[in-house]
Amino acid sequence: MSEQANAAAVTFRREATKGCLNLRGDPADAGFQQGVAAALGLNPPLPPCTFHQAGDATLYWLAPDEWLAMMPDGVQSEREEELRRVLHGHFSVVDVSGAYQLFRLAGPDAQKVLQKSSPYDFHPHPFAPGSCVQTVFGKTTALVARHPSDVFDLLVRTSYADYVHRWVAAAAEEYGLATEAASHP
Amino acid sequence: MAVSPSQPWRLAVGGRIDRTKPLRFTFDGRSLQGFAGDTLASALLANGVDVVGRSFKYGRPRGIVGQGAEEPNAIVRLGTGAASVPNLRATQVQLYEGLAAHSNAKGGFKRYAGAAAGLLPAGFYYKTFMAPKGLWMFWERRLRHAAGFGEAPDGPDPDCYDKLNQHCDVLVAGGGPAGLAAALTAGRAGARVILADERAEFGGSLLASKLRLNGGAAADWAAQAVAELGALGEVTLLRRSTVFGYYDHNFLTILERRTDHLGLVAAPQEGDPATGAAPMKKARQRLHRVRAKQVVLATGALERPLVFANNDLPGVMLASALSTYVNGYGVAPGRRLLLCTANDHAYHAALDWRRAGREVAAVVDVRPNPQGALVKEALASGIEVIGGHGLIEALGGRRVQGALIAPLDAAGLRLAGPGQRMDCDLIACSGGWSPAIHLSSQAGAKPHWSPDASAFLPGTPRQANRSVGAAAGTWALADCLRDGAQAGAEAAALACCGDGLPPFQEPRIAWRGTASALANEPPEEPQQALFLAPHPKPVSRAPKQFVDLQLDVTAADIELAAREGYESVEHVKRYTALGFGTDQGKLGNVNGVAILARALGQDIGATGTTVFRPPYTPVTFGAIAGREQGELLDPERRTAMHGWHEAQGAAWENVGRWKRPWHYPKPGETMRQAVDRECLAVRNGVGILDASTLGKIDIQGPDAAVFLDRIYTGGFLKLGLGRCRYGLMLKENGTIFDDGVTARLAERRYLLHTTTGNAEAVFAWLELWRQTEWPELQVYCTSVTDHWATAALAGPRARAVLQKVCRGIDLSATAFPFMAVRCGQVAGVPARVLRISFSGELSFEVNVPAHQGQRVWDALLEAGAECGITPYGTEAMHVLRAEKGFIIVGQDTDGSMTPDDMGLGWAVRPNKVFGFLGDRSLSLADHQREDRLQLVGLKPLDARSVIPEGAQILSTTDVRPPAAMQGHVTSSYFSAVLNRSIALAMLKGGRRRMGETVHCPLTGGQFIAAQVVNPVFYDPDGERQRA
Repeated sequence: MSEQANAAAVTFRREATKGCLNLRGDPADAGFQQGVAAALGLNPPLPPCTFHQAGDATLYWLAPDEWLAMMPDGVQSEREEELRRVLHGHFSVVDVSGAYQLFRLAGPDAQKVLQKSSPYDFHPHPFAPGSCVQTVFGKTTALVARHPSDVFDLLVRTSYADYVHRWVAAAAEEYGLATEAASHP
Repeated sequence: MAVSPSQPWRLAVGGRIDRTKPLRFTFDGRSLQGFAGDTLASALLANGVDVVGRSFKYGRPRGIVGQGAEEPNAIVRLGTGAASVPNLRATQVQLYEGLAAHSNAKGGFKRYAGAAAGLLPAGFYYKTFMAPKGLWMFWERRLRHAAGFGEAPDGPDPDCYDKLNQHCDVLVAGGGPAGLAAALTAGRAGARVILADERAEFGGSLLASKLRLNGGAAADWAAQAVAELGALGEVTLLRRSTVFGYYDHNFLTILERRTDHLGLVAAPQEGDPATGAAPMKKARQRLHRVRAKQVVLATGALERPLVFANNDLPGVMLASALSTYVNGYGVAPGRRLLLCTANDHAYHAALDWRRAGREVAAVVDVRPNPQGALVKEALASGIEVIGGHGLIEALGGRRVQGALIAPLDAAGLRLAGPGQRMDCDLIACSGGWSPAIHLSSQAGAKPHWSPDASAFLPGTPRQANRSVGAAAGTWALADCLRDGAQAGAEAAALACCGDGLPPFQEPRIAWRGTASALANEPPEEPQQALFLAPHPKPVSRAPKQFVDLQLDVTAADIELAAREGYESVEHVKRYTALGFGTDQGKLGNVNGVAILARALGQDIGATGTTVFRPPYTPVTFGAIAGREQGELLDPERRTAMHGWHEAQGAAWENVGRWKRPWHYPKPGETMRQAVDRECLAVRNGVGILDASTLGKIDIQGPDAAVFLDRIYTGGFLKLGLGRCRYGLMLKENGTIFDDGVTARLAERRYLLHTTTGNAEAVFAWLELWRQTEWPELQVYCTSVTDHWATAALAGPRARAVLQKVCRGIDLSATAFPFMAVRCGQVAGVPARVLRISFSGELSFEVNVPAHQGQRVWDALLEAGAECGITPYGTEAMHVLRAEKGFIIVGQDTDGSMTPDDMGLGWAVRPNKVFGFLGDRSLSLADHQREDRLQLVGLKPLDARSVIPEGAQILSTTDVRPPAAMQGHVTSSYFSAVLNRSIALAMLKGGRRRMGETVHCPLTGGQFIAAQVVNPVFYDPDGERQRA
C-alpha cells in the first residue's frame, strides 16, 4: 500500500480479472449441493445474502436457486467442466468471467461511500462480515460483499466499471481517496 | 470589546454571540457588522435595519417578523452570479465574514403597475384570465416584471452536493427539549438514532429559557444531553438539518446544510480552519434519505401573529421572536415596546425587554382580567397591563411610531369603546401557538382543530410516528421532557430494544422572578382566541389587515372570496394565494382559516386546514440532484474496445446507455464520405464491427427448447446442434417486440440474442413467463451480455482474415455453413464464432470473454491489415442492412406491426402444439386488414435525393388538407454500392403497390417522388452471405 493510501480514509482498487461461474439449481436437491461441494470445494450458502470462502474460491448467494462462484482467472473452464460432470438433472452453469469487474473498497469511511451509492442498509449489524447483496449502486447495480475490518468487495458489470469507478471517486472525495491499479496475484 | 457604534440596537451583554469576533457583511450593498453567532436577521436588527424588503403586491416596506422557518419578509439572496443562492430566510442564515445579502422584493406590483396595484383584488389572476379577452396579455407583461422573489443564478452551480442513504431505528425530528429527551431514552436503549434540528445548536427553546434545570441554566442541561448523545455510538446528530419531507413507508428526507454557514464557495480552494472557509470538495448540502422504523416528531410550534390594521409595519414582531433576539443575540431593536397578547406566555417578551433595560409602554391583553403568574410578574416589574383591550391599528410610515388600542367585548369580536393612541416604536404580538404539524400531516394524519389549544393538532398517526412536545400542543417544559422521554423509549422498544432500562430522570425545574420564585415553571392561565382585531371601519374599508405577509393577502381578500362563493379552504387558498409563498403560510394559515370560518358562519374545525406537502422549507435543486449530474447523470456503458474506438476518433451513437461507434471519420472526411467508405469496404473487402452491445441470454435446462418454442414465433424444437435460427418475439397482442438469432450450443443449452436497446426488457419478459406462467418448465435464463466482447468480421475477405488467427474450427463453407456456431480459439483465446450476418455479406461474429476483447480485436485488425480491414460503425451497419431489407425493431417497427406487416410471415410457424406468445392475436380481424401498413422499399426517382426519415407518403402532389396519408418512411440512406438513395417505408397495402410512384412532402413545400419496390435492394437471393 502506498503512503498516500495509508493517509486516505477510503481506498478503492480495481482488481485483476476473476473467473466467475453462475450456478443455478435446486438447493433442496442433495445431489446438487454435493456436486457443487465436490467441484468447487465449498457448499453453496443457503441463508440469503451470505457468502462462503474456501481455498481459492468464493461462493455468493444471489437468489434462492442462484449462486455466483468466484475463483482465480484461468481455472473457471475446468471447474465448469467438473460441475457439468458431477451435476445431474436440472441445473445451469454459465461462465460469466467477462461479465464482472471486481473492485475492493476499504477504509473507515468505506461504508459511507456505500451509503451514498445504495439505499441498502450496510450497518454492520444487519450486514455483518460474510454478508453479500445484489443492490442498486448509483444508477447501476452491484454485488456488494462485506469482509471484516471495513473491507468490501464490489462486483459490477464490466460495461459499467468505468462509471462505477468515477462514481466512487466522487463519492469518496471528501474522505480522502486512494485509488490503486489492479493487483496481479 | 466595546459595543460597536455601528450596531445601535446591540446590548452590551447577553446573547449566545461572541463579541470578540466581529464579522463584516453587506446588505443591498451597505457595509454592516455583526458578531459570530449572529444570524443575518439578528445582525440586521442590531444595525437598525428596519426595512428588509418590499411586499409582493403593494410594495409596502417590510421588516423582520420572526426568528426561524416562519419568517415571511426577510427573504434574501446570498452572493452573486453562478454561486448565488436565492430564497433564504435571513432568520436561518448564519452570519459569516464577507456575507453579501440582497433583498429579494423588487418593489412589488405597485412600482410597475402604479396606483392600479392598489386595486388588485383577490382572485385577480382568475378574473383577468376570464374576461375581457386580451386583458391578461396586458397584465402579464407587467406582472412578470414585478413578480418573483429574486434572481436566478446565472451559471452552473460551482458547488457540489450529495446524498446519503440512512437507516435508523428512531428518527427524532427536532432537537428541542422534547426531542432531546426522546433521543436520550432511545439512544440509551441502544437504538440507532438520528436526531436532526434545523438550527446550528440543539436545545430549541432551552437555549434562551430563563428556567433553571437541575440548578443550572437550561442551555447547560441541553449541552449535557447533546454531549451524552454524541458519546453514544449509534446516535447520529445532524445540525443545520431540516427534516423537510415525510413520505410513505416511513421514508423521510433531511436537508443538511454543511458549509453554507462558512461562506459561499465560488472558486476551488482548500479548506482553511483559520478563516473558516469551506473546502471546495466538501458537499455544500447533503440530502439524507432516511428509512426509519419509528419516528418521533418533536418539531415544536410556531407563534401566530395577530391580524390588525397596518400589522405589516416594520417594527411589528412576534413576541417569541423578540425574546429570541434579546436573549439569544443581545439585540433589542427599539426603545419602547407595546406588547399585545391573548395568552400568558407572551409576557416573557415584555419581561425580557424590561430586563434588557428598555421601556415597556404597556401590555395590552385581550382577556378582561388576566391573573397568571407571569402577569403578576409583569405588574411587579412595573409594567402596565391593560386588560380587555386589543391592538387595532399600528401607526407609522417606515417603522412603527405608535398604536391604537381599544376596549373589546368579551369575545374579542367587537369594539366596546373608543380607541386611544399609545406611543411606541416596537410592537410584539402573540395570537397563541400553532404546533408544527407539517410532517405529521405529510405522513397522512389529518389535523384536527382543538378549541382548547386554539390550534390544529396532529391527527391520528397513519405511519409509525408520534408527535410530542409543542408539536403535539404540549406547552409546559416538564410535560415536554416527560412526553419526549416516553416517546423515545416507546419508539425504541417498538423498533428494536430497550426493555428494563432505568426510567428517565426528569430534571428539576425552577423559576425565579421578581415577584416570586417557583419550584416549577410559572403556571399559565387559559388563552383567548383572537384571529382578527376589530376596527372602527369594516374590514373592507379599514387599513389593510394582513393575514399572509409574504403574498400580501388581507382579511378583506378572504372575506371577498367568501362573498364570491368560495367555501372550500383549498379553493380559497388558490383564489387568494393564501399560503402560496415560500413560507407556505406558516404564520398566516390558521388566522386565514379562522377568518374564512367566521365569514362562512361555521367553526374552524369544520372549515379545516389545507393539506401540508413537502418541503417544510425550500430545498435547493442542487441537493435534489446530488452527484447525479454531468458525467454521472446517467451511466455510460462501454464495450471492451471502447478505448480503441476513442483513439480512432470514432463519432459516437448512444444506443440505450451504450456508447457505440457511429462512424470513424478520417481527417477531412464528411460523415457521408466515411459511411460510404465503410460500406464499400464491407461489400468489396472486409469490415470489422464492435457488436458487443447486443443482448445475450444463456438458456439452459431440459425444457429450454419448449420454452423457446413458446416465446418465439418460429419453430425451435428441431433446431440442430450447432445451428442458429432467426426468431421473432411478439407481445400478446401479436405485435413485434424483439428479434434476434438464437444458437443451439448443446443438447439442453441455447444462446439467445436480443436487440441492443431491448436486452433488459427481453430478459424481464422471459423471467415473467418462466416464473409466473410456466413454472413447470425446467429452464434457467442467465444474462451474458457483459460477458462477451463481439467482433463481427463482414465482407468477402472475412474468411481469409479469420483463418489467420483461428484455431480449432474448419471455416470452410461446408464444415461451417451459414447460420451455424462453432467453438475454437481466436488469437489464442477460447472463442465462440457465429456465422450469422446482418450485412448480407459473408460474416463471422467472434465472441470472446470481455477481458480479452481488445486483445482479440487487435489480432483481427493485424490479420486483416493486408486485406485493408476497415472498422465500421452503426451507421454503415444500418445502411448495409437496409440494402438487404433487414428491419431494425424500434426503427422500422413502432410496436404496432405484425410479422406479416414486415414481410416476415415466413418466420411464423402456425399450428404449433402449444402455440406461441401472440399467436391467437394474429387472427384478429384488424390484423387481417388488406390496407395495413406494410414494409416496402422506395427508390427515389432522383437517385441523389435522400428522403428524410419520418417523411409522410402521399399518392399525389396535389395536396389539399387534410391529405390522405399513405404511410411513412422508416429508414433512408444513400447506398454507396448501389450508387443511389434507398428507403424502407411502411405503406398502406404496400405489397400490392409495387411499381407505383408515391410522393414524400418536405418541410419546404417540395416533394421527393419515389417508386415502390421490393425492400431487398441488394443480392436478393442471399448468395453472398452463404458464400
